[in-house]
Order: sequence, then C-alpha cells, then structure tokens
Amino acid sequence: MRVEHLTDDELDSLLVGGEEDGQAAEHAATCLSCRRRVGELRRALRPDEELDPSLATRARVRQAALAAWAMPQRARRPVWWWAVAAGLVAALALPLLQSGRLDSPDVDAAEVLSQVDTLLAGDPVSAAFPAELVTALAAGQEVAATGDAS
Amino acid sequence: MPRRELPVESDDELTLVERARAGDREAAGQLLERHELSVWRVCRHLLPPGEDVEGAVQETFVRALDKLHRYSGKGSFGGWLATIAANYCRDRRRRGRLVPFRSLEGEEEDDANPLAVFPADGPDPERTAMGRQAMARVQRELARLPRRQQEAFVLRFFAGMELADISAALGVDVGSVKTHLHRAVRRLREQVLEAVP
Repeated sequence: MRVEHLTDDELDSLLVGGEEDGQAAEHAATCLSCRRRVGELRRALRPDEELDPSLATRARVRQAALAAWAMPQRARRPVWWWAVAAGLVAALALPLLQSGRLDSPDVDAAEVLSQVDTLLAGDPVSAAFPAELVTALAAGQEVAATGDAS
Repeated sequence: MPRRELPVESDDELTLVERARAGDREAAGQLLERHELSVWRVCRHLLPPGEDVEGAVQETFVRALDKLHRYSGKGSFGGWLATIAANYCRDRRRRGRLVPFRSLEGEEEDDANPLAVFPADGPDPERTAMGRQAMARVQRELARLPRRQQEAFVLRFFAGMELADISAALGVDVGSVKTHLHRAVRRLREQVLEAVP
C-alpha cells in the first residue's frame, strides 16, 4: 500500500470520477488526512440545498408545466404566429373575393373553408415561407420579448 | 461522490415514460417530480444573471413533455431532462448576449457573513462554518468559469449525470468532458482550500 498522500491531480481525478486510480482510491480510503480532504472537497462541491426551491414552489411549477402540456399546441402558439397566419389567409382570400369567384356556383365554399381549416391546423407559416424566415421571425419575437422584460 | 443523492433510475421509469407518451398526466407528473431538483439546479447555475429560473424550469418541463417521443431510453431520463434544461439556458445566454457581471469592488465583502444562512450547530461548529464558507465560495466561482467548464461541472455534480451522458449533452467526446471537469475542479478546489486550509 502506498504511503504518500494524494497529489492534487489524483484528488481531482477522484472528485471527477470515471476511471478511478485504484491505488489513489485505496489510499484515500485508509489515510485519515486524505480522506478528510476528499470529504471536505466533496461537501463543498455539492449543490447548496439551501438554495433549492420549497416543495410548494416545485409543485406549483410542475403543475403549471403539466397544464401547459395538456393545452393543445395551437393554443400555445405566439401572437406573431396568429398575425402572420391571419395575413396569409386574407392574402389568399382577397383575390377570390375581388373576382367574385367565391359567389360563383362552381366554387364550393364549404370546401374552401375546409381547406383553410386544414391549413391552420398544420403550419401555414412554414408552408408559405422559407424555414429561415420563420426561424428569424421567431427569434426576433423572443429577442423583443426579452428586451421588454428587461 | 455526491451525485448519488439525487433520485436514481427505477425499474418503472420507462413504464412511466410510456404512460406519459400516451397522455397520462399523472405519470408525466411523477417523472418530472423525480428529476425536478436537477433541473432547478441546472437552471439556477447556467441561466444568465437576472433570468427567470422558475420560468426556465417550467419551459424545460413543457419542452421535455412535448418531445417525449424523442427520448430513446438509452441514457437516464434525468440526464435527458437536464440536457434540455442546459440547452435552454445556453440558448437564453446566446440570445441575450449577456456577459456575466463581475464586480471589481467588494469581492471579499461578498462572503463577509456566509454563516448567515448556515446553521452553526454540529459536532465541530468551526469546521462546519468553514465548510459552508467554502461552499459559498464555490458557488460564486462557478459563475466565473468558462461556459463549457461550467456546464460540465453543473451536469456532473449538480445533476448527477454520467460522463458519457454529459458527453452526448455537450456534443464533445468523453475525454473533453474530463478535461473540462478537471479544469473546473482544480479552480474550485483552490477556492475551497482558501476557505478550509
């Protein structure tokens, strides 16, 4: 059995874990001084439980997340998404309204509305615009929200 | 190693995941409850200063539940959840372009009375007090570590993740994770030794 105390590197390796140096671990287990060093470091490097939220706070946040999860994704979409979707529907419908085609007998209004519903149920923004633009819009919205919050 | 103090995987974990995937809210709640402390700790330490920790935890939970079908079951569920939290925090940091504030004054005064929140009773009050002071120093120094070291440390020591899981979470090999951890531990150890000579 080795008698030299642990070097700093060996001490760090013990703390980090993974592949353990058998001799170092054995020494740390039997040497009072090294064992105390390792113990003190481990205690200092663990999370401070004093800073953990109360059980009530944890339960409240958990329940809020579960409630949001249960909500349909459509209801969780941000305001900008609805604004762009509404603009898109209006842009598609306007030429039809202007030309009076919606009133013409060869257009099935129920079918058109059904197609609009399908479009809204999916992701009309992504369908109509390049993915980069949608991502940029989302990022811009979040940055704006962050700026407002701060 | 302190990581075992966190809830460990149980045999019914995958069953809970399956039930949650099917929309079982009670199962989803149990899953979150088992691992929520890790998520709180990850968000507390990895979010930029001034960010809403509570909101980050809630967002992490919602994202995890929405993406439950993507959980392969290979790594621990707790590690997967902590990874989502770490990714969220990294995203907030990147978008906010926030740089951690470092005060040039009063650094020593910061821990002038670290005992205020720590009970001094115990077998050796002086040693206990020093230990608490060391912990306070570590918490402060942790915020000053480079981002990768900070993430690796928090995922390892506060979320209890295995090296391989951290490697997957950070997108680097296990050797790099060890290097980050060694550097972080060395720097934090120096703080501990100053408080507990």
